[in-house]
Amino acid sequence: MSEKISSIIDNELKGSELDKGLSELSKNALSMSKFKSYQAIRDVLRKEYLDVNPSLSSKIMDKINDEPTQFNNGFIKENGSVLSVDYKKYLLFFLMGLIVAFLGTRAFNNTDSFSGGDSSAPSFLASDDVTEEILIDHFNTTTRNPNHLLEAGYQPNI
Amino acid sequence: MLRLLLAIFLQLGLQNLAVSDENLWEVVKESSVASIQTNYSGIISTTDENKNIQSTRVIHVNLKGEEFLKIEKIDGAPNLLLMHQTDAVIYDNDKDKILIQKKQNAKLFPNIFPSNLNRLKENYDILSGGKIRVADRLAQLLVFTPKDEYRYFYHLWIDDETSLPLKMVITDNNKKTIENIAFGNIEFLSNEDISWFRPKFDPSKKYSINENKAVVEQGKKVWSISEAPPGFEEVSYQTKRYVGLNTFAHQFIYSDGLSFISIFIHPVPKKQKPQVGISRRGSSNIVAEYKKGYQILAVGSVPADTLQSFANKVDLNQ
Repeated sequence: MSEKISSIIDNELKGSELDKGLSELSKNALSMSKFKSYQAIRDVLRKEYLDVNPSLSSKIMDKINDEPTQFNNGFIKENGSVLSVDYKKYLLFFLMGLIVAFLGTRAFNNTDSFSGGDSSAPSFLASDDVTEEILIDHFNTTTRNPNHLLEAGYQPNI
Repeated sequence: MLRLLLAIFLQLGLQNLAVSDENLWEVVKESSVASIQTNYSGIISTTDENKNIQSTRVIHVNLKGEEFLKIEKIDGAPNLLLMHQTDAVIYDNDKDKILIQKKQNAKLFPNIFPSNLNRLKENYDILSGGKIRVADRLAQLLVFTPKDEYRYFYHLWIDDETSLPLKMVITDNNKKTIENIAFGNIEFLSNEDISWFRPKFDPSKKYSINENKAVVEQGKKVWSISEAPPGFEEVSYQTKRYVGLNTFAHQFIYSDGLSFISIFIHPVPKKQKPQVGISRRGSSNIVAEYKKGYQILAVGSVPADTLQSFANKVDLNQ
């Protein structure tokens, strides 16, 4: 019956279903009492309650705060004075998803890598990065210029 | 009638052009032989991109079909190169000692043409630049113009009398000089004396031989270049083992007859970051790629795009 009361409060019942619900409600004193309480709660939440008793609103809110609520797969903040979406949790799950996707892509790309190699991201080649050894080896095997062979520090092949 | 005359003139013009081209290639062929057979001594100067000039004294004698060559630096350290046929020994002055290094398959200016000219003809058009004086001698300027964008221009001044190359200039597609090497003066020798073919011994210095960090070893050819840019052929492949590395480093050498390209493939040490991109050192462009744990470096006096084409096609053999 509480479910039906909640539906009536939330305006979820229409037409004949609403008539039927109200009829049942009027026949049951306990249900009617609950219905009135729920209406009061709703009015307080909507700040439409004009009762002269000012302590009633705070009492109701205290009751609500004492309730251990867990709605919507945990994305509704627990015990907050105002129900709100917890964006931090959304952000956390989003970041975790990004990390998983990044690690997965990286693992896929490295499946055929040489085991002795460095898997870190390559840096951009600068002129000074090219070792003398490489240039010497190049000139040693290809040059027609005798000065390339006679420069100090030359280390040719055997 | 006018059309007929025009056709005849055109035909004659084309024939002359064809003959002219053949004549120029004949000059190249004679020059290739002359660089081996001619006896000469002189000063060779090289100028790099920064206009730095280095000079060497050279003497070359062909004795009974065998070449003897001596080259000495006359700027800076008095380093020396002695070469018999294609085997060279270099005496490198290093403060208190002299390092003796050996090199095989050496081929130095003015011996710059390949034995087979067909590859040159496939990749370059040849043009005459007329007669110009170089090292106080009259020379024929030949311009090797690339048929595609994969190589640079080569300018050769060939001695009119002996066919020996006297000067070579490499320019890029923007006509910027990449390398310049030329005789400053030259004297042709009539005798075959080779008493000069020995190093000067300096008793005050220590001599050490072959202090190489890397040793050439026969390794398996695990890498290949699936498709080289047009006109380039593999002329050498070698493997090296560097100190501290358990795996081989590899070097491909490709040539189109005039330009040479090295493609180095070596494992990246654990504490070293791999590199990618394009750079330049002296006359050489350098392209770096990273593939399967290996650093690939393509080096050569060719456009960077040519090197990139090589680097992209390097792959492990299946």
